Amino acid sequence: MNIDINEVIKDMVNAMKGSFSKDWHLVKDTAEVFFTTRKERLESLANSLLEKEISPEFFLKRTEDEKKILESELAAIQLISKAAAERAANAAIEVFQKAVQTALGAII
Amino acid sequence: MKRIFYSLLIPLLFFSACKVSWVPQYSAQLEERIANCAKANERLYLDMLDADDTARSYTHYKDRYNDIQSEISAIRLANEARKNNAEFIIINKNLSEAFAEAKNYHKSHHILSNGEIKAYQQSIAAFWRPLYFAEKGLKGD
Repeated sequence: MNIDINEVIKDMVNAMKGSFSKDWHLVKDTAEVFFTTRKERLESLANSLLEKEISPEFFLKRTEDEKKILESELAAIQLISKAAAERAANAAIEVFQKAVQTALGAII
Repeated sequence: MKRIFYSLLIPLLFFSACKVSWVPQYSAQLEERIANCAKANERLYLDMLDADDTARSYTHYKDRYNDIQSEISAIRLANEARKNNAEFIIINKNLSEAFAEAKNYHKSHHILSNGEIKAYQQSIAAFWRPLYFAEKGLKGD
């Protein structure tokens, strides 16, 4: 059986790069949405406090919420990154499987 | 040595589902449920903002609060049953607790001011957002 392992590894790396570069914007865009919406939310909250539409106690509670919101956002980004890594890894594995199947086909 | 290695490796690769699995499988059904419930939640606060004080009491919205809360619980249950669900557990827990707090605040204060409604509208939406983006992220591009 003849497998050029260097060529296969090169193809695997390219498959991973291709998959991850497609998904990278997903991670980046998500983080940007979270950042932008946080900014808008905090500005609105500060204005509501200044306009006396909410009490200082209520304002403090909502700023406490921000810790949990950040925790959720980081968990989401972690999950999206893991999903992207999974797709990249599986793309590489698929390249290797195809190379092996092709080599097997050449023998049979 | 190489021959032995390949003769063992090839059948293994051939017969095993050689894929890695680090995250749950994407669910279009769950994505839809999340979007619909987030929409119902948003609508709850928009309707409150449109209403005058006489129509802002908790009793006016009790059923809608309970509908949304039970759907949040159902989504949480669905996520608890998934493999590789650690991040979803955190996100769901935070959303459940935030919504329960918002509901209980309204219940104990009877009527919410404009400022309070807007603040809850934005903060609860911020708890929904990671859940929705995480589910969509499983699908990829």
